Amino acid sequence: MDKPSCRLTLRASGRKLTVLALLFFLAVCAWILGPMPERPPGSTEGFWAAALHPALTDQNQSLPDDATPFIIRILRELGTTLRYAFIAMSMAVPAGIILGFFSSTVWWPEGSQGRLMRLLLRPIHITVRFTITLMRSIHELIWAIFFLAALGHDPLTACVALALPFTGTLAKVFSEIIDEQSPEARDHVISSGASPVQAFLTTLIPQTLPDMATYTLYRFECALRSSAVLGFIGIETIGLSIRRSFENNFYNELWTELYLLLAMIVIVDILGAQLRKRLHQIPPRKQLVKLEGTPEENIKKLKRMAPRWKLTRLLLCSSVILTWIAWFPGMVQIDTESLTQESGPMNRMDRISSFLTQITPQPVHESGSWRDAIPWATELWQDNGHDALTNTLAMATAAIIISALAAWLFLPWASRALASAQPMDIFSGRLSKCRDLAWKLCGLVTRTFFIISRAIPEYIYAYLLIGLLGISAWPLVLALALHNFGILGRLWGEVVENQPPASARQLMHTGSSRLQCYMASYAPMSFNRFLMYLFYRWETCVREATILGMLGFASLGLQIHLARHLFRAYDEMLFYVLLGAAVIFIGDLVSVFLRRALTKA
Amino acid sequence: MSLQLTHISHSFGATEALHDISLEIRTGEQVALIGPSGCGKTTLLRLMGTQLAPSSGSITQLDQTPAELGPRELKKLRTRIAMIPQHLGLVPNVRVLRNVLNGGMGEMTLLQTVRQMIYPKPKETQRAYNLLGRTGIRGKIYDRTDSLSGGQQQRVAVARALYQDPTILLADEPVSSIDPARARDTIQLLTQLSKEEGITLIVSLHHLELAQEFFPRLIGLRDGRMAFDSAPDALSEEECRKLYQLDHSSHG
Repeated sequence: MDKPSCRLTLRASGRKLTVLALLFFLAVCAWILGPMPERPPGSTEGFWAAALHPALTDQNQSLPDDATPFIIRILRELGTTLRYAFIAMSMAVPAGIILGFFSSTVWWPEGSQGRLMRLLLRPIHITVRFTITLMRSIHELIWAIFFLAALGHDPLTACVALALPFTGTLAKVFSEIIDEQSPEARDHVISSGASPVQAFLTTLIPQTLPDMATYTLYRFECALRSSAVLGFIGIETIGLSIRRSFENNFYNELWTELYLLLAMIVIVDILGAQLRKRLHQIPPRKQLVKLEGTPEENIKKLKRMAPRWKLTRLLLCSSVILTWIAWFPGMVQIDTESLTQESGPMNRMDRISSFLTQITPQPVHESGSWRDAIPWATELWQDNGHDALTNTLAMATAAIIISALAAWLFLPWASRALASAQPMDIFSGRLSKCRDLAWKLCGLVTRTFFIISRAIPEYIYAYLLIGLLGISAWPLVLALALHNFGILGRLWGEVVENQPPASARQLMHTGSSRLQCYMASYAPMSFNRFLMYLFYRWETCVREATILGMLGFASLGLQIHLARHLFRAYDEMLFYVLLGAAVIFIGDLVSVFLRRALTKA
Repeated sequence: MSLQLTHISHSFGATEALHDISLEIRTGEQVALIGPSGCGKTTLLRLMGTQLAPSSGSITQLDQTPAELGPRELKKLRTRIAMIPQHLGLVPNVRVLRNVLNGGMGEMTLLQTVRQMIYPKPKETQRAYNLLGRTGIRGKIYDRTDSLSGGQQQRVAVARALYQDPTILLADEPVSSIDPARARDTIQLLTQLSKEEGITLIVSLHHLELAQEFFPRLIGLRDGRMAFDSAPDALSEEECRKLYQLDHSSHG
């Protein structure tokens, strides 16, 4: 008898089962998280009305006359948000490239001669992989809390904290992009006598550049969001004002801040989409070059008139210049807050050593034996850790399933192929202008909906929703779901747009409707890739859920928050943080396994 | 002597791709390997190009035996053998110039490679330009490689091979994906270059007429065995018919 194949294959029934399982998980999570509270705390009257009247001046009447005007203050904070994002990215990108290089294996020497070299590289590879997973399993906000406690309240420290998980993610994605490239060009160059590293540099790196560039820009967008959220732990970015305005019920101010943040992130989002479009398209040649001079002249002429995109160069130059300005604003006479605060070197060393004592578990600190850490940890796990972990996972799972269902329903209306008066560009009879416009509007509105919902960071959604709906798990779930709805809309949208259109077109030809076409062609063909993105986003949801808990719902985040604020117990805080990181680690392994299974099927 | 194969056999796992092949190819000769798909042409070319080591038998290129060479010497030998694979192996999203320059990498150190990636010397650019001129697409030097048509990309691959300044040029099915007129052009280009530069040329084809027209020596392969090795005039119709006969032809 053959052994049954243990490979996971998703056939028609498998797909239905998967969807049913997701719904079942949603129900279980809802049961764990309990009902919504009946009455929201405090009055939030006028919150929605203020959306139509964003303020341009201070709502606070009791400010002194010489205070900085509201709009200047906000724009400055917006600038700071941008600045810290640039600084964080300028550290994360080079580090990510280096770590990404060491966590990929395609440049390793092959054959029997390279055996010793491979043996030496293997431990480096494993260490790097472990390091980058650890870096990105801990949320930037938690890194920031740790770093600010250990090193003092410098903006630069916060930027380093931002850069750490970003380095991890960039390194992971970079190494995946490198490993995905087709090896034909590399193999050819090696067969003509080049070394593997030479071949890697000249053939694989150029092939990866478009994907790396677009991903870096997406990460920059994330850095902007995280930089804004840093305001909630006291760094002077736009988040700080958002919190203050909301706490003081200055809703008109609040909406101005939200709109500005939204605008900034949407601009970066659109730039990213434009860049992606350009990098995957061949630039058109404007005019033919006549070759009539000497070879030198011809070469010069050809080089000058070679077709190229302007936007890519513009973005590259401006990001270099802006990074430079972010680090050294003094050079262009911009007056900003100093990145580091004045403190003696002794002071800093003291802080670090006292912090290190604080994060060692209390019993170990007292007795000096690490054996005492085990009962301490067991107690923490039984008291709060266990419940907190379950709640965190339930929040993340509920959120991602809700956002997946919503995104799946909205997707056909955003698709450029389907949401059009002539779906799939198939001749569909005489068309009225009105119909055409209506469909165009439908696509535009849905896509805008996706963009806006992903532009605002989860943390800010959660902060506002808790204020509006009261403290329970649901505002947090809703916040996670809202943000991920936009992200899934974008990721899935790309999958749908890259899918070969032949079968969908065939269906439209035989007279099926747009929705029938979506159900019968797009949904089944893209299902596995959809699932892959779902798991990928679930991982990030767990990370975010840990943080959102800090806003007040019994979860890992709350335990971290309590340990930090109420008890100043950094050892307990570290325990919960590591617990969260362990979940991410496991989630990472599961998703690697699932991704393999899903791409094979 | 350019190439010497003695009793070569090669297997991939349990399947034997080549069986007991012996042949000699002199410097400057032009040889066509012909035979149906899956007859072992690509494997034979890869063996000749030192990309594979034979399972048994021995192979000598330019009086050197790759199996006995250390990595450094093998690298050196490889710079003298240029290969144009069927899929061309070009980097799609860089300029044509870059792909041509990639041919010279075996002679460069890592540092020089990095320098060339940032700034190719005028001398290098000029050489690439001249070679592209010889293959007829010099105006495309600064175009993105994937903006070129299939036939033009093939010419980029030829220019890259020439940039290597090779002693032996191997081409695997160079005309399988282009129309008959262009196929003739390409074969003509290759044989002409080989004559002018005295490069040993070995091309695999499944197009018998082209091979007969342009090559003074034809080697027929069938099921991994040598079917014939002769001049085109000496080739009988029977031999040609048998070469492409399907295995289950006894039915018809």
